[in-house]
Amino acid sequence: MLSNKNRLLGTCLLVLFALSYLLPFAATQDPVSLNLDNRFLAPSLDHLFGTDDLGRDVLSRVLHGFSITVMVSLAALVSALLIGIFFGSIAGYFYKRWVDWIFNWVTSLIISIPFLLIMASILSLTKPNIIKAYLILTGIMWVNTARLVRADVITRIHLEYVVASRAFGYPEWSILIRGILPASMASAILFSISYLPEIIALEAGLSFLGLGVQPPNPGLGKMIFDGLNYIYTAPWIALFPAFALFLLVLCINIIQGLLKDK
Amino acid sequence: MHVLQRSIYYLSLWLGIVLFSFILFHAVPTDPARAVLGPNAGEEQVQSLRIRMGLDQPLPKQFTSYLTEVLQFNFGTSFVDNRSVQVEVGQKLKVTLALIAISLVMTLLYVGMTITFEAFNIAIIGRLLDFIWVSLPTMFSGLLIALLSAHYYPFTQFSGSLSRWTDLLFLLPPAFVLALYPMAILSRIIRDEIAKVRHSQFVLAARANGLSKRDVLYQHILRNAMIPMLAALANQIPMLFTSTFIIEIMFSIPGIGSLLISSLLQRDFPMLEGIVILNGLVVILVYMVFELLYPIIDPRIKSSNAE
Repeated sequence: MLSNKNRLLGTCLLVLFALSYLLPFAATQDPVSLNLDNRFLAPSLDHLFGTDDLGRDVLSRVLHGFSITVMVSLAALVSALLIGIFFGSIAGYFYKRWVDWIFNWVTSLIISIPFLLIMASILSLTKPNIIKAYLILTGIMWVNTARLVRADVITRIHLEYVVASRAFGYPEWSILIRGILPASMASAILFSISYLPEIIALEAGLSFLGLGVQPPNPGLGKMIFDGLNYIYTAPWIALFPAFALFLLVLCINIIQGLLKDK
Repeated sequence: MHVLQRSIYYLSLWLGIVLFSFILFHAVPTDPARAVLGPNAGEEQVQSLRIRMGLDQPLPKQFTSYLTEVLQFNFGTSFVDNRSVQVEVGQKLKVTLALIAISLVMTLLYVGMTITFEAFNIAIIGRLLDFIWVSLPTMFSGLLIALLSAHYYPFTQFSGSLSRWTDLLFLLPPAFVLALYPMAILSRIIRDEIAKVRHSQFVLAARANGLSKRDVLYQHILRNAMIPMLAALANQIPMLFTSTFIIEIMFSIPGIGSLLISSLLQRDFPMLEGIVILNGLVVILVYMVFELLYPIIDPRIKSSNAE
């Protein structure tokens, strides 16, 4: 059941992924090598986005950081989608039984602790790295998809074709997987893109708190955080990575708008 | 009866958070005392902290004593400078909640503006604005507003405890940044609802009875739009807190976010635990209030819950 809309969404996301894979190759300078003679250079032809407090080219760092943000966010989106569809469909199929009850409790629990707190406290206990950040992002974002899929499955379990296949004696798992899931999945996938800005904001937030990509590698959030110290003397250090985030979210919202109108 | 049942459910959620933070800070690290002090601390020092944290006791016993302490709102003292955790977190939480409250007021004002646009048939302006707001990540809008307000906004003093009226003025620009996203979401919902209800039977009947278009909008349509709006707002709460933390750091407001990052950097675990548990409590209380509000706004909800 790959509808036109889902095909468009898939294409857009693939283009975004390819773009973020290729962008670092456009970086003219090494994003991590220090050059203390070039500290705080204002944007010029040599350094289009200027240089930061350690003389690194901001443009090159933004390109690398952007690519990491997109990759991690897309990976978290896809895995959250898979996990969410799995648990959501089970909970929805066993609506108002104990499986569903536990599901509701756990998802409410995850939602009631502000995400950043969970992630920050888990990461602070261990050595933070980007893989852990991705795992935790997934661990939080699956809840959204799962709740959506659950609600969608619930509307379908009493439909006639489901009742009929039960009367024919099909096993429960077969009804769920072959009868209900394909329809519910299509809408869940389509809807998942509306969570992408949130995932990106969280990824950047983690990096902002120093829990994402570890220095000296560039992360957009970390660059903004470091740039805050020089926001009045050298605003370009923080502004350009923030602007890159803005462009990314804008792109995603435009894709979303296209999908809605179609 | 129903209220009691829901309260027990929410209490269980909070206990879940307490259990979560216990597992996180006491059971997961093989040696929390060592994790706190770092690899360079002497063995004696680690041992004394272990006893102070009660780590020489078996885990179930640790949990029961932990639970009794938490239920008395006693989170101990900070590892860094011996401040009392509950006092510190409570104080910072007040600032954070004030920030969120101001931003909610702004959101409501904006929604009112959207409704006026609808009433005057110039919804296109609102739609355009919403698209801009929703596309602005907190970090970008926060930076812009912080830069602008540093140059042009006169109230840059913050006493740290909301004791003076200029403190509230100081909170206006960050609250505006915080309000942008909920503003866009809520006004989008109200626009959709108005479009949906506009052609329904009861609106037609009200129009036929001679009520003006504007009266119908304010008296009949809005009430119907309240429930989806509240639900959307409830969905926004976790994200709202997350953005608040980042905005606080950007505007150097001494709230939970600033406390969070300093505790993270200093590996101040009692403080982090206090933040997780108390912030979780606030969020759960907010959810409870929302749920109590639903049947007051729309009496139909009560009857559907009873079955």
